Amino acid sequence: MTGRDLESRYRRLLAVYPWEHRRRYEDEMLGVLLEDALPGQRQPGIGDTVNLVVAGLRARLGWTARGLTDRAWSDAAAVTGLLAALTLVAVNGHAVISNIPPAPGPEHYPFGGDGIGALDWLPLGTWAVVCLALLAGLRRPAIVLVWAALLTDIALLPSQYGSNPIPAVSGLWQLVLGLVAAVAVTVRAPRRRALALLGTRRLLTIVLALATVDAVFLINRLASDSIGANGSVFYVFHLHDNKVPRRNLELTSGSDAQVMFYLAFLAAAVLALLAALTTMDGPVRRRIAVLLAPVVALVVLVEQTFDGWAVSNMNMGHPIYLVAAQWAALAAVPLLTLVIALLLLTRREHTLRMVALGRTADRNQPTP
Amino acid sequence: MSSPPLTEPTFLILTALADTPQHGYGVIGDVLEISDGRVKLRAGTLYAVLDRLRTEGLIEVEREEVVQSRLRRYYRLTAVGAQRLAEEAARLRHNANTAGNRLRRRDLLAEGGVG
Repeated sequence: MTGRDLESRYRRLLAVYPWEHRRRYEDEMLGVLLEDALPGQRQPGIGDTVNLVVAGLRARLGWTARGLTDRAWSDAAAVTGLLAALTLVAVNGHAVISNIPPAPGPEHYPFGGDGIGALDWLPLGTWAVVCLALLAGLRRPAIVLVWAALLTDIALLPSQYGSNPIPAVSGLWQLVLGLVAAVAVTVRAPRRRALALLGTRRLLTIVLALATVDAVFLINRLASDSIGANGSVFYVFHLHDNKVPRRNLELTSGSDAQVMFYLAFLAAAVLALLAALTTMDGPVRRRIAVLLAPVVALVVLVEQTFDGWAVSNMNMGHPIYLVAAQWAALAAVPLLTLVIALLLLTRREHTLRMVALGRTADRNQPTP
Repeated sequence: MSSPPLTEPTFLILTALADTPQHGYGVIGDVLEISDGRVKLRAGTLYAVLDRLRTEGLIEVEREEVVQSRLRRYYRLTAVGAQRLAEEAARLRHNANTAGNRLRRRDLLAEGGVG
């Protein structure tokens, strides 16, 4: 009975170790610990207890680090880097389209932006070159460009926020996506790994889907110059439920059917994008989702909880800046989302491993 | 580029396995003997080192047996492990010789000191 007490206490201590380590060594370690025990010993000694807890925690850190450097992570980083860069090309393309000024003429409803400046093309061009460099296998130039683009955006943020906080805050997700791209591109991977993993067909689908989104907005923007003239009826469809009107997320049209036509293309593009990503290899796909989760969390946070602040900003006649708690939320939510996503990934893959082990055991020992 | 120096427990475990394949508890006893009772490895330390050495390919499992319904693995040195141990022994010998020579040159070496 004494031996069993000691064994169960050692077993509880060994629970500090990660599951993979326990599977490999627990039985052996228990044997060593029990052989080394004094006759009649019922409790693990202090020295052994401290040693097992410290070694267990170190093993846990080591396994986590090993897990983060495994092939699936570097593959996911390669794909995410390219995917984020392509998305930022589309987003910056959309920003350029939004700035196309309205056609001259007093009869037109004033759709469109204030005009395209040379600086509007810069981020679009930079991210496009990053994509080309990644596809050509030129990793180092891509890394330099991505970090330069990110640091420029970070440097410009205070002045943008100071003059007009709404676009600065609602565009923070692009900064986080840029950061994800920068980190992902910096992770060591074989040349053209993203292209090898995605395959030409999947890559074309993603590029076409993103180009379709921009094309829909471009066509809509150019077509909007001819509607609303002479007081004719036109429709505005908002692609967001925010109380703050955002011209760059609106579709305008002379008829309902035309709006539906635009929406059908946007829906098809989103579905094609999702289809391309969901058909990827499971471990890589799950890690891409983890890496992009903070970006999605930030979009949802800003869209769902900052609209009151934005409306006040528009109506007060002077900028209202965020308070410390709001900044804390903007920083904490993406980080917390990343941690939760990592934990969910670990749990999911642990379950999958257990199921696979169970299947193997069933095959080796079929039930009579 | 030369490999980084081995820690004392790692060096002693490789030395223990250089003689003959051994299981975990056997390694602990042998290390205690090699170090003249100075180094008493605990299970946590031992298996952290064994796991790392296995990952690096310096040791491998020679055989497994079940003793009192518990798994017992015997580990042995691989060719890479033997090479690494030889390099480390040469490094330590070189350092020890240098230290001994310098002490001897200045008559600082006590009787029976480093050879």
